[in-house]
Amino acid sequence: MAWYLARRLAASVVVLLAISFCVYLLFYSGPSDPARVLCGKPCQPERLSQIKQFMGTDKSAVVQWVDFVKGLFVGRTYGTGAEAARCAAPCFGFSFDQRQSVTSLIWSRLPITASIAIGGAVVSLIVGMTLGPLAARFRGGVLDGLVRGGSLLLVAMPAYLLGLLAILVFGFQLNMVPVSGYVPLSESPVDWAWHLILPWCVLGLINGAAYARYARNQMLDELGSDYLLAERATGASARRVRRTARRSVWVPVTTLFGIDLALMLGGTIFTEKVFSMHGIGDLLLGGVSSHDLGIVVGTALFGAALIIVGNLIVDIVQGFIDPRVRRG
Amino acid sequence: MLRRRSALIAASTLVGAIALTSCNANSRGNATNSGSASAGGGAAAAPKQGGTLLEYTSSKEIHFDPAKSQNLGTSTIHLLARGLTTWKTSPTGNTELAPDLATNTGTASDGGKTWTFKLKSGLKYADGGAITAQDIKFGVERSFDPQLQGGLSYHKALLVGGEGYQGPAKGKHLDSIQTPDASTVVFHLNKAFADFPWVASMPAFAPIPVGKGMGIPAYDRTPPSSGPYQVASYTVGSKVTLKRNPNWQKDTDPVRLGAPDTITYEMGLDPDTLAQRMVDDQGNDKNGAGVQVTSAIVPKINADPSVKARTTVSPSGAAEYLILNTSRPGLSNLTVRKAFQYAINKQSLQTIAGGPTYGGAISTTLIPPGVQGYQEYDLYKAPATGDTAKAKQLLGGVKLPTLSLVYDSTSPGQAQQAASIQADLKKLGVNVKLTGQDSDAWQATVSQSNNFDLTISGWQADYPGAYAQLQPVFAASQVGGGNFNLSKFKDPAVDKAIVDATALTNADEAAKAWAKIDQQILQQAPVVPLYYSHQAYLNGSNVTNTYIPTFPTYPNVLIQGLRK
Repeated sequence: MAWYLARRLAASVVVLLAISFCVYLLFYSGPSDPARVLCGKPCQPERLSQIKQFMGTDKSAVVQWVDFVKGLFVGRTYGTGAEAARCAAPCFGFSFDQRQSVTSLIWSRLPITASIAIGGAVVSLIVGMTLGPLAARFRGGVLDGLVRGGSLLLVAMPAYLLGLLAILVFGFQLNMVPVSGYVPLSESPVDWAWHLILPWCVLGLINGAAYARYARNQMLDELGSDYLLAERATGASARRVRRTARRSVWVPVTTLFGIDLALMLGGTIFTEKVFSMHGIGDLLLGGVSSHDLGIVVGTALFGAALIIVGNLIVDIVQGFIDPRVRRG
Repeated sequence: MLRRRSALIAASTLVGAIALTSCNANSRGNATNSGSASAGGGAAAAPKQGGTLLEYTSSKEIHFDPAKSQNLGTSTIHLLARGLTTWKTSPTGNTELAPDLATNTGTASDGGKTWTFKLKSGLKYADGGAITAQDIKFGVERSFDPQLQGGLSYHKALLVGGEGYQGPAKGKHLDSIQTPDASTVVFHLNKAFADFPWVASMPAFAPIPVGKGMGIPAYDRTPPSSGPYQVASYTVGSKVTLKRNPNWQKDTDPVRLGAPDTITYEMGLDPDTLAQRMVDDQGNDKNGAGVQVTSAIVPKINADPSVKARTTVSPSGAAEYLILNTSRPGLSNLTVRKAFQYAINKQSLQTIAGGPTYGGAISTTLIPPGVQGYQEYDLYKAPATGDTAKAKQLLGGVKLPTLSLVYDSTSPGQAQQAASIQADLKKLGVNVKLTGQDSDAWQATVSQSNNFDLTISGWQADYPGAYAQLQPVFAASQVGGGNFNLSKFKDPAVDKAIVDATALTNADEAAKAWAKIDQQILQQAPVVPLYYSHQAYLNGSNVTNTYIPTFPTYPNVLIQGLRK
């Protein structure tokens, strides 16, 4: 197991480094110059070169990337003297526009993204694991048809469209819930939940629809499996058989759930945008539009790290459940 | 930046208050439908004292550090930070310069190379500390620090010794700023510059107390306040609240009204949702100001007189041009460029931009109304729809290669405008290849390369001075390297005329000189003037002083307040 873990960890680090390198290359092959964005108006050539030197963007992309990787472990300092900008390890980069380390920016936005992601994930699990097995139980019936049709519609629908429709109906027409904004949990738990209800439902329904379809099919497979048919034949009640089958459905669905949650924690861009919530996805979007290299690289890497960690946890769990995975 | 991404402009839904800058042309706004509201409008009744004014914006942050700010003279930062000079707007006349912390708008000596300002007496920060000339010097020096770049930087190229200077953090000071006593500050420039009093209104000229450190990054959220307000609270992404500065003395301030007790900026709002809220005008939104009109709500504005009454359209705006790359084969021929002046159907482009009200008025000059040196003239008289016959006659037998027109595909209406120009030139037998590019790629193509013949862009100055309108776009020194002389226009006579006019400290002489330069450039036809693009804003029914002056193209936040 230790060897398996070591291999998985090493692979994860390599993947992270590769992602950070790709993001650097992609950004630098683009037409915009982050130093020029910061140069002011009018921008004098000598001022531009001073800024490049200060930001470290006067070096080649490879050297910059090496500096970035070094900063992850030992931190970085931009400029010299008492007023130099210090970015402590793990330094995910520095936003020169906001004059803050990307790490602190991510931490400041994480509560918002985590609130959306965890709530949305819980709703999706409830929706998927309720409707999926129910549809399987009433296979071919009205409920099954509704779940299949509804879930297909939701899976096909982009998150932003469902979000806008929800705002239009529940926010503007029925005036039931707030349409935008975030209230910190520490300020008012009730307002916090009240403002998050729509994003949770939107995110939960879209992911839950996929889980429902998966759970339904998985449930039908299980119910048709030899061992459950044998159990039923030996006199077990239908309810007991369904319970056994449902337990089997949980395993693959929670695997999906773990990866989806990690994905969402890395930034729910569309949901944050539509509901005017300023989480990590919004931070990344802002970084792209303002050509803030630090934010783009830092948040992309943070998102990637979450997905890799999520995958790693899933792999480890599967390794425990099924020893064949460890050998694979 | 020329036509800095229209997305950015659209993002600053707030009354220009948070507007990053008004320079960068194409402030075409979002309205795309022709409307019937007339240009101008907006309430100008005196506001009451007190209440909470709400300013709405889609921006998620407001940067208050004066060194990094590109806010123009009527924008948010000037609610907190006063300069040596300031801008005085009116609903009817042009925007003028007025003394702010200084007793006058500056005294020139040494032929316009030295400028002296005397501070008014008894000026204080919100914390009670006295504002001194040394604080002004420190504020300007601070703007040279590499960590504090990004603001309006005209002074950095003008001050003697500014080229290599990197700020006062390491104990080095700029000898070209002298403070012989606590109330006098003297600036020594490397050339005569008559517009320096306008430069002294820019955010970097706000006082920053010496001896309290550089304030990095603290001043970005809570800057030292010399204006009528100070920051009471700042929640990233959602809300900034300004409260009164108890030490602001209204009798020393000729411009700011300081009417509301509190000004709250609600940030990160979706522009379309916001525009709809403003149409509805319910609850607190009645006290909301400065939401930019989006195309989606233009029909609602036109259908409802009460909404139309709350809509303000700018009387002038950025000068939009069809840029003719004078360094390319074919277009290096002046006769061809003159023929193009007649060939373009400006009315079609105006209609695509939103019509005469929301789009803008058709233009024949390089300097727009409201900017120094504007004088109405028409060198190439033609109907608004163009004069193809005259263009053909001028073009004669000249054969042109296929011309490449690159445009910013992310800018609303640009693709249609490019197609309209293509059709106009086709009538002359000139083939045009259209290439739409993302705004970054477009900006790199037109400002850093020579791989295009035509493009559509415009320019609005950083202050209503002709230098800021013409020099960045037509001086030979501004070709390439990311600068904005996109037509690659080089004329030593024009360059000399610009240098000469820059030194004229007599306002009348300067205005005449700039008006002459406007025509002098257009005689060389490096661009086709298209229209002066308008901007429109929608305000709550309880907000007053929402009019838009001739410059800049958004309401003056320094004078806004509530009716009751």
